[in-house]
Amino acid sequence: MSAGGRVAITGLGVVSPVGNDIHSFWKNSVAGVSGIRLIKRFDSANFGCKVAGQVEGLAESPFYKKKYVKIDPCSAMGLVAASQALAQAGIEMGSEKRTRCGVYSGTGIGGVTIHETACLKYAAKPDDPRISPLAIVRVMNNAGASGIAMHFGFAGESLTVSTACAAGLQALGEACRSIRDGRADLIVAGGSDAPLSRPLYSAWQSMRVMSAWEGDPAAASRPFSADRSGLVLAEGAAYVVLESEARARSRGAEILGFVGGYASNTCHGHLTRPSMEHEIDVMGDALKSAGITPDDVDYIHAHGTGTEANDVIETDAIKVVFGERAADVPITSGKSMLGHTLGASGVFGLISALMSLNKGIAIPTINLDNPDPKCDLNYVANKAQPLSRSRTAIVNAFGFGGTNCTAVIRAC
Amino acid sequence: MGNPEQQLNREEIKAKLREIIKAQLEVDEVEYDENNLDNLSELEVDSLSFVEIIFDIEDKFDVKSAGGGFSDEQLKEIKTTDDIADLIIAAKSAS
Repeated sequence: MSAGGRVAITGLGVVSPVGNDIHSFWKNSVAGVSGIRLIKRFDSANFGCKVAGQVEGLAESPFYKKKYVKIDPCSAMGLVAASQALAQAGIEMGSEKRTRCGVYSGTGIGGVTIHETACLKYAAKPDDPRISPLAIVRVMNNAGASGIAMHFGFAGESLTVSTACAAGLQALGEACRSIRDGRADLIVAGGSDAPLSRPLYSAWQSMRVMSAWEGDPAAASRPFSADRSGLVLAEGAAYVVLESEARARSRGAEILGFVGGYASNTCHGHLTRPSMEHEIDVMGDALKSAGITPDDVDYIHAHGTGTEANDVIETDAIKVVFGERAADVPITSGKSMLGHTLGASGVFGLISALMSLNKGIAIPTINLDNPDPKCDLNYVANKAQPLSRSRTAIVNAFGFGGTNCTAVIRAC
Repeated sequence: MGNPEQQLNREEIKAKLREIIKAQLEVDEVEYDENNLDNLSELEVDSLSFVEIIFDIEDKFDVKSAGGGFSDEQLKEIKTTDDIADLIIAAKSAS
């Protein structure tokens, strides 16, 4: 990111398997609480993977509206998380036209629950399926972003990014660029995914990347572990409010931190296999865009999926970028507690990293009793650690399709 | 006004229609006057919610036509629950 002033973060919102507000999310994250449970959304008897990170109690959130029962959980979670973030930033719901405010949202797969319902209805009665007339506008990937824009009267530019697991962080990075370029004053940015649909679950299982853990569900997600069991899918939404530092200060908003840099690239060699070379490049480019060196980084929130392909390559890439310092910089995979929230995951990482900087605490990577010998860095195993310095963090998000993103977060 | 049996049916239909409309308005968190549910044109029903209401009505009354329900021309004329009841009665008579 070039000239144009700093991009301030003034609000945070989460809907997650470990809490549907920032306070409980942070408290449980520091305590190493797992949000992984046996699947309740559907009968998992015929599935090898029987666990997931599920959101519970969404309707009890003060930001939940009765009408959200009609939209896809992906959009509903996004609306609740974005509403939390905007409330913290002091932005109220409004019907007046806010032409300089926008929504940048990421989702890996959009409204798959409504899509599944429509498909099942069609399959059951193809001659007269009676699919809801609003299925299209609820399934579409930009349903979440448009719902947020309408709720808050945001008439500025809205953008939906769909780059698999990198979607939310990429949306956030693009939002920063938009603010820096003067195209918007304020953007609520983040990601949302609710992938717990049976057909999709079957497809993930066919890819042979899903956890087949049969023990305590809380122990199923095991990033960087020698006995890792694979990826654990999860649902959730994470949003932040971004605005120019000048605007935030002029309206007296509390600044929680800054997005200091951002980079994105594409691993063009393979749809799903990560590339160390590209991960090295994206982390390096993000540091450059922030005008800092690896020595300035105090904390890393890793992509850390709990698959061998990711964990080893991400570790090796961090070693190349950080050199001798790699062993000293604490690294967390929040997916050990949340599971993989796909398009929301990078923004969960960013929020966790920002909270970590502000509180001086690195949240743990749980279930790490038996580290993979190839993963030999400090992953904050099982217990939160104090950060010796807490000014700067980086957050990684790498997606199927090859999109890699790294954001640099700076404390106030 | 038709025979007593059809009159009764019409009132039953209208009562069911009010329930469907009310349920939609409540989910949409739209304020409404309980005594004025028959006048759709006076309710704050969003065009998309209106489409959902009609879809629900078609399902609940099992209204069928070549297009799968009421025609676009018929929908344009709907202003009250009486208008919808007319369409339902006509559709039922035709089937």
